[in-house]
Amino acid sequence: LRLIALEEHYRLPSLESSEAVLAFQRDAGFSSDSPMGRRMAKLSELGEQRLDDMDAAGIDMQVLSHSHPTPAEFPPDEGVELARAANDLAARAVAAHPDRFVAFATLPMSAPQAAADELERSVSELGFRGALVNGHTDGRFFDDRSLWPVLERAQRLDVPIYLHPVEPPEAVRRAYYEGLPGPAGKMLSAAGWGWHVDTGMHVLRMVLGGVFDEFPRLQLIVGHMGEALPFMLARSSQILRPALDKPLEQYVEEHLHFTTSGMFTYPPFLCLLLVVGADRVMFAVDYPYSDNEEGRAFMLGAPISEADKEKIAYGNAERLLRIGAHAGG
Amino acid sequence: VRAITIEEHFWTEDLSRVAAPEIKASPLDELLLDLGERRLAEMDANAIDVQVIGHTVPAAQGLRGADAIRLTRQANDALAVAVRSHPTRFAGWATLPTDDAHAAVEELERAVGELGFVGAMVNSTLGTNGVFLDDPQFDPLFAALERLDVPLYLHPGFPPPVLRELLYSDLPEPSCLSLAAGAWGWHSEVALHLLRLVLAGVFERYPNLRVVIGHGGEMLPFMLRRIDDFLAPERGTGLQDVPSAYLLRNVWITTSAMTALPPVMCALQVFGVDRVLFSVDYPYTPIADCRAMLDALPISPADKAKVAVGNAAALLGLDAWSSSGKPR
Repeated sequence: LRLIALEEHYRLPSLESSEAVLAFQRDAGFSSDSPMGRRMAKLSELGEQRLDDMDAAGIDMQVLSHSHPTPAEFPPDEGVELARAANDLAARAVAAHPDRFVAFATLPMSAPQAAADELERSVSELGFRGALVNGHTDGRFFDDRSLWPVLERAQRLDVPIYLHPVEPPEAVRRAYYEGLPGPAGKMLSAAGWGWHVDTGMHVLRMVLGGVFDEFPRLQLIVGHMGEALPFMLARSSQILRPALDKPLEQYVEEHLHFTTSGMFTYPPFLCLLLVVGADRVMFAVDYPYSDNEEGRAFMLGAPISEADKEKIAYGNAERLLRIGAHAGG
Repeated sequence: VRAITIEEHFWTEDLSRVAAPEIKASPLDELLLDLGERRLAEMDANAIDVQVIGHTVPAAQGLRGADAIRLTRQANDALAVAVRSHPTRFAGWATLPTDDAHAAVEELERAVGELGFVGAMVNSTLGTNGVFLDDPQFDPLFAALERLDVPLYLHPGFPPPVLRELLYSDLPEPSCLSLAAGAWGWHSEVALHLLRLVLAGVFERYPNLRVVIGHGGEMLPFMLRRIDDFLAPERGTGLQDVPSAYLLRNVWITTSAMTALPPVMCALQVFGVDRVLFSVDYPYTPIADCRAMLDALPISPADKAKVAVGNAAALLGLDAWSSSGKPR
């Protein structure tokens, strides 16, 4: 089974020793000799080691995207430079292994106009397939019109935006996640819970804020089985019906795609499939934070038809990201 | 008995007046105030024999100061009158004056011991009382719940103003309030609240404590493996085991307000059929929609009987009702 993995991360080597990375590793208890620390050490490698990891698990292609910290977390000038450097680095990996890698751009979201320009450069000059954006930008969500230049450009270029989690704003962290022992609060605010539900909520903000009415062709990708949206969709739809011109489900069917990144159990997967259908679900691992082999075993063992498996493992991604037979479409 | 539903709401005139100011007058108000014929007729029309009833948000969580204890007692007494009037149709959850943890314990003891209530329903306390229940001041409450052998129903409440401002503002109304509450925010806050109890070691200190959450499990069944992956003991949580070890041992889930099958199937697959209980969230969700979900649930008749009746009877000690279980 051909496997294209949609949410696979790398990091500029120059950021490995940045305060943002060191602080996260310290607060989350990820020392360099911990299992997660050893995984994260793979972020800055974009060559043979990564390809070996892919080969060992039968991953045919990774869609690369820059991990935390993103250029959005730096002042605008610095962010613009970091984004260019990160995208150029990924472009070199894609050029070296065009049958194994494609890429999503990372964007200096703190400078939205420059971010839109960098998206255009990445797509038009570097051949990238869209952009991965880490959640809120300094507390602003995508319903904030100051960020719309990026969405407008994505629609014009006809490429999707991958909405990835990020740590909550500091004030949210203080209100919700303080007072727990050790690194528990930090993990609870991030991959252990908080940033997932915040991302699901962010999607709802985009719908409620009229983003998809303003950009009717915009396509959004959401990881981690949909960040709990599939579980809540009927409930959320019922509650939000008075606020929307059309049912929430219709926005999902017209604008959202979902990946399996980091979540390799069948109950949420089946919930997702039952709610959105096989045409909107794509395989992803979340390398190196999650395990390629585990992702592959999950995909191969999924209790679904072979036809649907092929859509999810690679077919939907080839179509949405114009890979392989769909290139140039 | 054809169905027991356990997250059903009412309110009293007194406590409705202290409702969060954002709660506007609604056609549901009359249904909330009724604890008699109108409610029973709706139950009958949908083959629901028993409602376990609790005071709706903000309930006693919204009370402060000298009047709090008196008003809480009055609310619980009013519910007790209805339960005594219809002892085979209604049971009661106590509301507790959580602004004063000591008073909350005393009221729990009174409501269970004297009024015969099945446990306590507490709405999320952060927005009203400024703290989650993992704050050490509530340890005596958990000890009392364990000692009295009654469950705590952890129900949503409005997130505090700081979160309303940071996460749920700057959208066209009524979106802000909806998103902060039933469309997303207060559900994720209940899950967070429960995870905080786990991570604070509450279930290690009180291993027999039983907690119920509604709305299909407030997204926890969907995210449970992810939670375990990142909050395992080797991450330095200080716990003996992964969060799911406590959640699957100490927590029960109801289907309140869930009218779609996929999340309920997810909850059943993750928590198992002995841990999932049918509920409606009356009067906020149409009973008929919930009943239709239960009827359509693709599980065996034996398992459906557990979800509809057996699990609630076992959890709340309503054995007399389940054993007399002939259709009316």
